[in-house]
Amino acid sequence: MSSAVPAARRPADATTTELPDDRDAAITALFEAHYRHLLAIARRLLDDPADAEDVVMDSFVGLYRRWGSVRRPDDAFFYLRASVVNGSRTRLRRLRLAASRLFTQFEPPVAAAEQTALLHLERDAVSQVLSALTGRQRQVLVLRYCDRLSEAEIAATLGCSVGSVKTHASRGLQAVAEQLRGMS
Amino acid sequence: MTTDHDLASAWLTEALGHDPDPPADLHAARLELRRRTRRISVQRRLAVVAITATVAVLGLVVVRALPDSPITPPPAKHLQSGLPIGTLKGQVQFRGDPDSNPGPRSLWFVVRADSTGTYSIQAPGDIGMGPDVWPVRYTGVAPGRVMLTRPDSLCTGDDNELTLDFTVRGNTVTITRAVTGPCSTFPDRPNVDLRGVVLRVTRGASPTP
Repeated sequence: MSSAVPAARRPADATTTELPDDRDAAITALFEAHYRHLLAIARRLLDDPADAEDVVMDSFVGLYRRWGSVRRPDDAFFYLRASVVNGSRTRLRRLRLAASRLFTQFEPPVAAAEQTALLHLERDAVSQVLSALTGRQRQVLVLRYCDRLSEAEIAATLGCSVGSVKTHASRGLQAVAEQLRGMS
Repeated sequence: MTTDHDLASAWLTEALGHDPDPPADLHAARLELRRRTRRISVQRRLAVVAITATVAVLGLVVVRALPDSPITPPPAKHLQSGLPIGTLKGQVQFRGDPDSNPGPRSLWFVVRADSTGTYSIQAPGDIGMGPDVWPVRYTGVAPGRVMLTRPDSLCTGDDNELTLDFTVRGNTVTITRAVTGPCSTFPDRPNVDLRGVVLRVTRGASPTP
């Protein structure tokens, strides 16, 4: 990744804020601070907004279950972000697996009319471009440009090496450039 | 020169970097989170109750199923009087004229857990018939006082051989008072004073000196 991007975006600076001792209160505070931001990441990683909401909710519930192992407030946010990214990947993989078992091409789930209208509005050029990427490329670019993480932070979040992040980013950018050329 | 990567990067920065937070029904999400966390709390409480109840029931079952376990008490270390069980060995000083073989002599008491035992006196370097060994029974009179009786005594009525007052400190027994009975076989009793004699205790020692 040769191009410079702005410094990391940390929503509401809540990562450095003290959390309440009570588990329920702490989860509620984290929810208020990070839910929308995490939902934005999940929306860029998944095609279906409902899936994105599920994944984010699952990550909060997962944190609630593992609250005993959270040592610092920063840990909670990192856990949530990694959980959203990994949950999105799992969700996509499961959907693709289900589609392949049915011997049909994967189609997004049929949504209600109201939701479908919203979906069409949201499936903008960005969504189209991102959908054309592989799962890892999409994760790397979303974390890089949506969350403004460094390569090291992306590697830590995804559980892979910095070299791997660089490779996925480079190939992802190439794919995005090709998409843009095709669109223009 | 602008490369494909730069173009793509600039486009993504513009498209994703200024991405507004998506519309979301926060109220519904809050309610959903509360519902799911409450369910987890309830499940945990139920699990704790279930585990506690299971452990309690299993514990009761195990306790009831166990036979009256034959718990063997640890071997006693003292008789009731407080006299240590084992071999008690010390030295006594005999006085008197040279013919009566004055000087130090070894003194043994063998004390068994069933209150039987022996006592014996041997002169150092004695190469004669060996020491006399008298079988005795130790009867506690009071804490720190024991009476040695001889079951094979020919005396009728009073088989008291020796009554000892003693104190125990660690592995030593100090005789503080000694009184012989009317039929005592204790040799040359007038020429020996057992008071202050310190006996060293060897536990589990051979019953014969």
